[in-house]
Amino acid sequence: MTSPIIDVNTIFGFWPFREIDISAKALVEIMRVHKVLRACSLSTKGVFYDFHLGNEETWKVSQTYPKIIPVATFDFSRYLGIKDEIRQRFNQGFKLFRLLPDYQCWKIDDLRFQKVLPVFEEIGAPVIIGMQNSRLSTLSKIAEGFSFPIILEGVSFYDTGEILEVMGQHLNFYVETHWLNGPDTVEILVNHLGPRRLIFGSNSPLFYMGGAIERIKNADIIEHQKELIFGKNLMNLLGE
Amino acid sequence: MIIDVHAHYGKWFFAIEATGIKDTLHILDKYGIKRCVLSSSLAVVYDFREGNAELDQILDKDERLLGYVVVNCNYLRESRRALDRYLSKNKFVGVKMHPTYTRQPINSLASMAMMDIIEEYGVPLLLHTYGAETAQVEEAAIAHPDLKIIMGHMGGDMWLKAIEIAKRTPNTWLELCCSCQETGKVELAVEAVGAQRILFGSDLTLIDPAWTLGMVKDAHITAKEREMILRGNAKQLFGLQL
Repeated sequence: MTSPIIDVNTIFGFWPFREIDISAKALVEIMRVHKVLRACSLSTKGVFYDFHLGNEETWKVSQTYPKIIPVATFDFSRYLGIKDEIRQRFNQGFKLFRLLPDYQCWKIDDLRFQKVLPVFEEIGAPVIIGMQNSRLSTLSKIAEGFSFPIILEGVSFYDTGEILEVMGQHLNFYVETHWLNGPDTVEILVNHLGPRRLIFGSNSPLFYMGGAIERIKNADIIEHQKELIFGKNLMNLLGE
Repeated sequence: MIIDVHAHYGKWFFAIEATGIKDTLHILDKYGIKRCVLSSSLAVVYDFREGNAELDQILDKDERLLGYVVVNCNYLRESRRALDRYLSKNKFVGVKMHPTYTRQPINSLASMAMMDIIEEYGVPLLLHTYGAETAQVEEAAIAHPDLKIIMGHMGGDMWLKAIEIAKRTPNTWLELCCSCQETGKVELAVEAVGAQRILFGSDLTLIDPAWTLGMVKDAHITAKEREMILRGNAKQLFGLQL
């Protein structure tokens, strides 16, 4: 493996649900062990408490740890000020945005979410959306007509058929890989959609990083396709 | 060398194509899996009689393949017949129960009666455990002290509960395959019950072995403990000659 690994799906901060060290320092150590060059990450303070404060913290941490690519997040339950926050964070230099409805009290079919999509379209930056508790087909309808890149996170081999249809319809949709752990899920998606639509993510440090890496390393696809998935596709999306 | 104690043969109601025996053998080659204990997916999700018979035909195709007899506690008499028929063959080394697909809680009368029967045969039981139902394993394990219960998926998202139960019940083992691959679960399990009661399973043909192997490699445990999890414990539990 010669290509660098860049992880689109990590977090840092504090985890209130069990005792685990998910500090930025711990994340960077995990990245070192697995030779992960860079990781997109955000503070969990922005997920569970206050997205403005969380985004501030994420930016600061990314200055301390250059391997961390800062990701801004927004909680649609708070909603007020969200459009300004998106524009401000984009102007500040955030290149990637992430929404985690699975951890918050809102859903993607919520009108608040739909009203903010034009702001994402205006700035054009990629947005990662957690889909663990949402239907891909629902997002497909809601995102009709928008062209900013959307990265689907938290979809698994259970969803393969729906991924194929939805991503076939939306060429601006990408899929994050950590739960594509079926024996041929990666291979099926690469065969049907091409290797440029998959983006490596691990969900670390919440999850062991090794499983997600090993799945792509051992996929029955060619080396060039692995390089795209492990980092090049994401770098293209981020304009780097 | 790896022993996989949780795998399947056959199709699923998901968009997975790598479910044929050639696919499975290719995957065993790729990861160096020397023994793989399969249950029939047809038997698990639908008809245990037809599925067990189909698996019986498959197991002779490669020396690495071993089988679980799938039982359905809604059919106690037929399940006993299946145990008699298949456990007399060397290739079948254990029993599989899946409470979800039989719609019988682990501690229901039917499930407990099924375990009464399985206990007589002295072979390990791979019991699907995931979510809230995991808590019911304790009652089953206490009621069946001679039954060796492998908690498949280690309780899934309720893995902390599974570890608690394993700590209190010496006749339970924790099997690792699961999409909930939360950091620290292997280390906590080893600390709580010792590496000797933890087993590697892949969940083939649903999950690629790379997923769980990556987790076991990542875990901060000793090389000896890793060896026990990946092969030693399974070899001992199933009495395998390798």
